[in-house]
Amino acid sequence: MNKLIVVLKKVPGLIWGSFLALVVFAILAPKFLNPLNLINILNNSSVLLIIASGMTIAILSGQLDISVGGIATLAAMTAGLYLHNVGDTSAINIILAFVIGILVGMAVGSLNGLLIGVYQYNYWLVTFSTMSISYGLSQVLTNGNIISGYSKMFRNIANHRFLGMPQLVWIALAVVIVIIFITYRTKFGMHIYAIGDSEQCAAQSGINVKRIRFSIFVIAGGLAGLGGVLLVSRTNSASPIIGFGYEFDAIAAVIIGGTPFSGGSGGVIGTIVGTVMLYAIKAGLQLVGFSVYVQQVFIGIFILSIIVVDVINQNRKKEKGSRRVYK
Amino acid sequence: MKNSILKFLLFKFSRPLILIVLIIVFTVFTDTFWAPDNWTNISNIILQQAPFSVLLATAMTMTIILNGFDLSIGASVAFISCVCGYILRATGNPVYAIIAGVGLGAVVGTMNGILVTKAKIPSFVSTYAMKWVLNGFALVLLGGKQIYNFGPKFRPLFISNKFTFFYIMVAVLVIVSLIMKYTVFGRQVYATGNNPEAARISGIKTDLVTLKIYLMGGMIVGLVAVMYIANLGTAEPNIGTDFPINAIAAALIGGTAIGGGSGSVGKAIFGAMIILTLQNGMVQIGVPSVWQQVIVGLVILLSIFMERGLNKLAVRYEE
Repeated sequence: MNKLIVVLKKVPGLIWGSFLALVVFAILAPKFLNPLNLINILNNSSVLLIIASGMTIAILSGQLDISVGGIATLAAMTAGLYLHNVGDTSAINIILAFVIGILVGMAVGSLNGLLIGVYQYNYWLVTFSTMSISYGLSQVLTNGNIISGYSKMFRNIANHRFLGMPQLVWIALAVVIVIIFITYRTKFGMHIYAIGDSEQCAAQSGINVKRIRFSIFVIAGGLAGLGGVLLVSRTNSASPIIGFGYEFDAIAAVIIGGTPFSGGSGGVIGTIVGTVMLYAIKAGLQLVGFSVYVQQVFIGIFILSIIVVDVINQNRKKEKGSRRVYK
Repeated sequence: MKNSILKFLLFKFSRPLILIVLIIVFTVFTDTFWAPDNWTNISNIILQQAPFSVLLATAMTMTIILNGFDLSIGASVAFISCVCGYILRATGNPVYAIIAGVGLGAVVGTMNGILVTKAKIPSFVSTYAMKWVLNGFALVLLGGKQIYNFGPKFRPLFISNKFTFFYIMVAVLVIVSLIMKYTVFGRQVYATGNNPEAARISGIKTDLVTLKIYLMGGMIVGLVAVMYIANLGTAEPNIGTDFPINAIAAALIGGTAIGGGSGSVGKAIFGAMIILTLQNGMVQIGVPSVWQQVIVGLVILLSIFMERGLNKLAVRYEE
């Protein structure tokens, strides 16, 4: 029993707050707890979950990757264009499309990693400009047009049901489990946490900070690329704004899940909860009957207040810590 | 020795040089950019586009001096122009619209400032979140539609004389640069940007300074929003998505360094003119307009490379 209380105390307050919001929705809109709605929430959150787990490792190391939305879009457009041109009825082409999408993501990610990790430019500016470049290139690829109408085989990758759930959910789960294993059980994962805690300490204890930072952005880019191609398969269309806003949602999901901006603590497990919470709240707002525009205001204010609470909490903790030192 | 003086001059005047080279290249390679008997394009750039870009770049430069960014400027313009559109439609009185525009800009700026100073959220995160909120508000107000018909007095006030926008820009720039150069407040801004901790210890109220800068930036953005609907004749909630990135690119290519403490109105002007010339010239040469976003992103990357390169050069020169 005591153990349970300790575990419950570890759950970040933000998750409790979101949980409260869910209870309110469940009361206001009885349909909210319908299994179909719940499965739909999971299905909607899958792509964000994949992208947000990349964002989590970036934030764990104390940095941000704002280019993930742009990377997802660029990967979606390249893979979509490839499938459109070579035909999407053969399994090999579909696999190749996924490989291309992931490679595009990793390529942009390695540009980020090279500039930020190795040459130590400002992470925010670099990813902001690669975001703009990726969105721009996605426009260039098809002159701003949408490609739609893919074969059933390709659409089934995300939409086919397996054990009652869309395959997309299972794919997201598999990816997240791999990332959880990497962050909690490998040396690389430990190094990410160490760098996020204190880059200087990590460097002085012999961690190759440059290499780790480079790999972080490559992984985040690759995951965003995978997410982008899955989005095409799910929505049956590749549009140059398909990933628009994912960077913001991903940051929000990570922060709700209890990983602070300062890095070094938290983890991907929290992000899973954060992502599902975010989409549950979106679905709840919709079921209660708010228009799309009002939803955007609510979500924006919600995320902003979450960030404010999180940062104030962290600052208070930091102050407490320094007080202890100077006593 | 002679070589190093040349390098120093290159370092100091690199931005005007870039602008001149760009203008020469576009003049030589296209017929439409500029010719002795064809001033339409140039006057279009200077009188129609520059006032907006330069003012937004100035607002952005002021936040970059304090080691921050303001990503909400595009959404602010969208939101404020929608509100002003409503007011104009209801009253038809331009004075109300201008007061409301600048006032709302001040409110948005203050909120950004409070988030950055009191809640201590990194500015690019707080202003990015603010962007979504403001865009949402604009959409709630207009529901994705446009609003027009601003009454008989509002638009003529701005567009009856084609130099009005230019004059407004010059007036604002003069005021801002006087404040930044010759007042105690301006000195405090640079001190805070350079080293906030040292500034605080030497008695500067850094939070207040930061708040005031975001307030000033917000007021400029509000003014731009009013000018924008006067120029366009319509207000819609979806404008301004590319304002922040263009303004950042302009500020950085103009020579304002990230990290705080450097930057000026003059640099913002040159930066904005470089971006405008580049975008306009690319269109004249025949590059499809979908490339513009890629180019702006590349300009930001280029300018941060250039900043580091020039810094190294400066260090070598001093040695």
